[in-house]
Amino acid sequence: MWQKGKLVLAFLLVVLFSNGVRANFAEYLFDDSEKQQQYESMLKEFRCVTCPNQNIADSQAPIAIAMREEIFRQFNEGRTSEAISQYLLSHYGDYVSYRPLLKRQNALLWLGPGLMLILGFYLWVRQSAPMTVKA
Amino acid sequence: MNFSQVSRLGWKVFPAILIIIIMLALYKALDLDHKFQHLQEPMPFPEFSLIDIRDNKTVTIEQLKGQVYVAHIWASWCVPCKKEHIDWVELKDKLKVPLVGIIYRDKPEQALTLIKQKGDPYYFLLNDNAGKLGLDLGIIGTPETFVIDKQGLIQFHHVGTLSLKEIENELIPLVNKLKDNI
Repeated sequence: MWQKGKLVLAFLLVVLFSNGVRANFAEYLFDDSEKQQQYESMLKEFRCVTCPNQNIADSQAPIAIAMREEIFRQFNEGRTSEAISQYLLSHYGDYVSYRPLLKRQNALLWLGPGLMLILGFYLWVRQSAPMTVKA
Repeated sequence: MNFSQVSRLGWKVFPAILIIIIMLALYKALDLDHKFQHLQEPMPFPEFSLIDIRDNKTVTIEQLKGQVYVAHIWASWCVPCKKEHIDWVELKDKLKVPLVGIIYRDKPEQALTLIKQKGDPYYFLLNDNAGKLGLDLGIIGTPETFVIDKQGLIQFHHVGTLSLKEIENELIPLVNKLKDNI
């Protein structure tokens, strides 16, 4: 029992402390807390284009670091979140955003899960329907 | 076959059709050809003002206007870039247009060491330390290569390394074709 407990504890410690990647918010600080929040939000909304499974906040890829710096610079220049988002989208396309606007090109991406859900429900209903045995 | 039978048949094949449509759409989305993307809507090469690391002089896009050139983004910390560098040096004389090197978020001294050791094929060798030009170009990593026409429009964009053969057999002919277009 104690052996199992040790294993579980070791596993938990590994899971909790092995993730050395922390969001890089402390690098760039604004005096204005609202701006800081907007900045931090934005870093989480955009994808690292070198490491697509990470957002800009977490990635250490040079492009992600450059993006963090550029977004910080643009916020400091007084640009709005919308303008900065537009800048990134115009240079990288919808792919860079975790929340792209619904368009014809990405309609399947947005509607696909719903369609699959409908399909799954339909198959489940058909599976559950009692079989008619012909005499 | 009456309506009821057609309807029942339709409901039977509907899941299969839906799955096929989704699979085809996903398959099409995989077809991302990064090699020599001939841009459907060429965009202008972004304005820039960067320092040439060899003589510390400022270079702007004005100095390249009116001519065809190749812009190559790389870094000394990028292993594939260093391998590709040798090919650019080898083909330096065959490429009859300026090759503008742009080091991306790199230490200039390390880039200078590389070109001293391996050769320097660059017309300009610019320092994009902040990575701003890279962002304006929409790069996703290094190396990336752009071919720009006389109007300053990016006509071709290649993501990743180019082999000696690809530079010689694909890029150089493209560049020559753009040079000959009036």
